[in-house]
Amino acid sequence: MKAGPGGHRGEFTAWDPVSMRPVWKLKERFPVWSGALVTAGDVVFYGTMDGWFRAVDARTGRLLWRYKVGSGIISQPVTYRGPDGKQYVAVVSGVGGWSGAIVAGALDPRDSTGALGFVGAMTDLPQYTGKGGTVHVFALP
Amino acid sequence: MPVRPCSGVRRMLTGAIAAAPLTACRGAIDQSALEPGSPQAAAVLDLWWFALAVAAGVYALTIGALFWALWRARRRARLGEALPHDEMRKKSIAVIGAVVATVVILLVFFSYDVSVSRTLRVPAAEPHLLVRVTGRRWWWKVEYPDSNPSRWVTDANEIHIPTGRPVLVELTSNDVIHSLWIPNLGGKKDLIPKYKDTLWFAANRPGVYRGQCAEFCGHQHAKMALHVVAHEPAEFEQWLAHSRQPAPMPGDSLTLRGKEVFLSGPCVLCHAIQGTPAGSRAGPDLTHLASRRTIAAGTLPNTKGNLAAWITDPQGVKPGANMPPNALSPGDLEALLAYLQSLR
Amino acid sequence: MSSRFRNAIVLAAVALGTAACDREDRDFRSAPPGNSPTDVVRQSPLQPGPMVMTSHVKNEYEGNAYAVSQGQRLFTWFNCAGCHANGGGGMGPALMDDQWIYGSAPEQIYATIMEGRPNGMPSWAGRINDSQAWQIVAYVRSLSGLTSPNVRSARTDHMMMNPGAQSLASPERPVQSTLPPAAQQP
Repeated sequence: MKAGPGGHRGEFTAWDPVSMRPVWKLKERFPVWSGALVTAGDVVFYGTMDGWFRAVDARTGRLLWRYKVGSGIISQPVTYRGPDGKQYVAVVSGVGGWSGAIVAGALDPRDSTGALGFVGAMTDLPQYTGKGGTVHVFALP
Repeated sequence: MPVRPCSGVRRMLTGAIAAAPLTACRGAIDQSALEPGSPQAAAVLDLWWFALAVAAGVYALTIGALFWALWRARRRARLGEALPHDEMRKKSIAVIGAVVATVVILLVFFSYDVSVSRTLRVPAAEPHLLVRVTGRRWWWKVEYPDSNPSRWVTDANEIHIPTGRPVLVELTSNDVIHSLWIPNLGGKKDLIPKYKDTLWFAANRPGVYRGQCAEFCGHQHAKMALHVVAHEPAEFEQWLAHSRQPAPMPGDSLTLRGKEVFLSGPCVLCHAIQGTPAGSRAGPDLTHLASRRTIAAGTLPNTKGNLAAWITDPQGVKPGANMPPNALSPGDLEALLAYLQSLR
Repeated sequence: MSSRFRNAIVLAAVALGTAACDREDRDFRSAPPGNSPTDVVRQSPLQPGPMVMTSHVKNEYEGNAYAVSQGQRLFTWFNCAGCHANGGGGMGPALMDDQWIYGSAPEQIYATIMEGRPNGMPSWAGRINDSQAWQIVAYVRSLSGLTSPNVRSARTDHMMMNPGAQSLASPERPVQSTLPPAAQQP
């Protein structure tokens, strides 16, 4: 497996299903393996495989906030109202999945057929993230 | 015809020696290029006879001319010298004659070859049977492709064809170069890894034709034979419909135990039987094993004893073959044989 | 040079030349080498009390190029690549690096194959015979460069092991990834 045209391996896209076209796209170095969380206030949360947890504007894709966590994010961010009435956003960091197997399984980068071919596409991932397993919870002010 | 006794004996001996190899060929339908079973083989054989006749004729003329020259030289030596200019004329006649004869023979051969090539060319339009043969060390994987995957037949070491219908054989190999050679039906074509080639023939009459691998491919190249079975068209359709069926369910307890032995041992790692969980494609498909004439690619006739020998000690039968020895208890072996023999 | 001297030189050259011929020895009907270990195969050098060094089973297939190549064929046929890819790993750990969770000695790899291991390594006992297992052992060791370069099977250039990377591993003390260096016996 190799990176596609453009050299980047991930894109976070807002898709308009009515007019069937993308509204905005954000290029990422690695595949965006995490889920997307959209709040009623038009904020979209997602995480990248090199460990950035980002919040962008839902209408325009403009970056509003970001935070570097300990390891790549492949999980689904969630939000909830705490017992104190505040809104919290939580995400688990810890790279893995087939695309992160080179880090999670300590695979050998020389065999590009490893992990269904992802080892060949993600040989530089170990330089950007290590293994992890942490729950991060953020409170909105 | 008055002959001297010594030359008569010599004549008989020469005749016997010349005829001995031909006795193996005459009358046998098995693996002989002199017994064509298809128009392709017939065309090639005709070309061969023609080439033999022309070569024999040229040979006779050349030797005759040589002896004539020797005789003339002896005669001239007895009579005295010949006239020089007479000699020059005779020499130039000989040279011109040789050149003309060569050109004529080449032209005749070229045109004959073109007509034979036309016969051997793959027919595009006619409805034909498609067979895919993959050479492996040291057996033949035979598939009958179909656009509907559930009608696709996978077999081994035997090619079944209908008479009178062109058969298009797609050839490829999984490991090294093999060569498909079925003398009765014509053609010898290499099976080259990562490369697809085609061969075609059409059988004239029903029969069983033996073929073998004709390109050295390793230890057991000599024991890599196959059989082409030509059926009447209706019989072929019956055979094909039957081959599409999965293996029959075991009927009695011994056969059922045999199936369990098969599925719980090393057999499943390499062999597939349609209708069971065994699905490995490393070795030959065994779904209709009992209906084959031979086992181990033509090495042994398909009998219970031979099957037992092959299963327990394949290296004794075919050293170097990829099948490992299997130590089975007598009861297990008996059951397994009963099961395998039920796979018609 | 006298004729006798020359003959001696030729004989010596022939003897030296044929010394490496067992690299391609193919003995199809012999019993598998390095008889299946009957005593317990230790997966770790950590032992209670003083450490007892056990001599390792020598896999005679390791000097035989045919056996390593057969191991490569069986690696593909039995779908080891389904979890281990071509040595790089996937669902299973990488086999071509120098991290051996259960040991890199021949009998340890043999035990791993035949017994199976937690988290998905199947147990192959009863499905492959000893001879095939030892061939696969020889091939797996060749993946990480633990066999002689003479007998390695064909692989693409960028996956060939260079000897330097395995300099820490020796049959007596395989590198264990679960045991930190500070806890290893000197």
